[in-house]
Amino acid sequence: MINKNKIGKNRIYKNRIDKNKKGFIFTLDLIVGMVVIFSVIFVSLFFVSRGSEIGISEHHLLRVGSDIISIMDEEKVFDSLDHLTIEDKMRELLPANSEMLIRVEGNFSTANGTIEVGDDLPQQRFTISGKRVALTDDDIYLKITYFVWARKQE
Amino acid sequence: MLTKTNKMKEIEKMGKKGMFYTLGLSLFALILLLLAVLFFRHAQSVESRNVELSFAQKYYDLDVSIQNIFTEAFLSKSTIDLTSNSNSLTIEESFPFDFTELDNLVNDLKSKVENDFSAIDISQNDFSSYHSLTLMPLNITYRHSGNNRIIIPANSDITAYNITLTFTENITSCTPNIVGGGTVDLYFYAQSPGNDCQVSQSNVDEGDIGLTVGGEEVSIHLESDGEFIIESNATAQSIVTVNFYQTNQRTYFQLPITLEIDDPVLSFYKRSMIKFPISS
Repeated sequence: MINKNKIGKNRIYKNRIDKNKKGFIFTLDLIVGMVVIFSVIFVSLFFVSRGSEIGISEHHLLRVGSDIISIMDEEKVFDSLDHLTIEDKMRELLPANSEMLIRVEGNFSTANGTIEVGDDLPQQRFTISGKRVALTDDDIYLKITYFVWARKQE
Repeated sequence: MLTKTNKMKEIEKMGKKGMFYTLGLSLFALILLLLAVLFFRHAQSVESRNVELSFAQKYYDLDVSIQNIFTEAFLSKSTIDLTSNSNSLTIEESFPFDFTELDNLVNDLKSKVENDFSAIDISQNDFSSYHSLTLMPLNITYRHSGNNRIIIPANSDITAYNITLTFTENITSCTPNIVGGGTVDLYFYAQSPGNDCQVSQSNVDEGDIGLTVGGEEVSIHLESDGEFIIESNATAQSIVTVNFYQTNQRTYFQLPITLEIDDPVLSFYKRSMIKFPISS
């Protein structure tokens, strides 16, 4: 009798240990799986948010550059074909958090037909560019290329 | 024996539960993974869409600037003065016409723009032939033929023509021949140093006014189909006012110069005519 009881108790004990081992492994498996899944989700969310930011800032820079050139063309600033006049107006219109380079090319004698005003193109910063044309009152055709980028935060 | 069977049933039951539980969790995990893939693809799609929009914006800006330079060329070189309001269009110019400077500038701009931007094609053949402009959206066209003829094609919105011609030589004859029963009013006044000629008639169906000025022929025709023609071999200043039904639509002028932007790399295509607003 006593032996039978002992054997029974040992079996129950063994079952409990087995169940505990299984539960432990199962839980571990679950944790690892959840870690992997949530890592993938967070990485994807990171790409989503980064993609939107890039789109918005790129479009904003393009609008800034385009609007500045439009205003300068409307006010006949390019007609002067003067480096200082163009640069002063550009600086006046440029937002504080942006930098710009404007290149004006045409059939004029100043600076061999190319005027470049503004900051130096950055080496490793996101830069947006655009092109427009203009006609001075003296019927000189101008090709205007502009580059805009965000000012480095210090 | 009975106890063992119950135990086996219990084990089987627990096994099934565990299987369903695992399947459920796996399904949940799969859904989350698919969601992650969806987020990633969406991010890529948004980025490529932003790139397309940026290029579209750049081409739009370029299109606007090209339209502006042709408009400036036309307004500065055409020797035509234009004004308009909600029910009339007035054009002042001199006979004979000389569009040489305008043509030279337009051709020069066309070649320079096409040279600088390979995706752009400008067609100005119609403009070079007729130097016409159209008041849109009413589609009232003012066209030149040669250097001494103005043609205004028929348009059902036109209610009256008011023509003033000023000659430097004397008018020696003025012969009007007007037929009533139409829908257009005609007011004509020709003045010269020595004399003048005036014709005023409502509801004209068709009409001819022939003048001789300094030995040269001048004629005004209003055809029965509505076409209006002014032809002058004599030097003259002309003021042509075309009255039309009042419109609340925003009107603008359009030149028959076509601007095409075709970028196959970005699958971008835009076709537009040179247009500019009106000063009243």
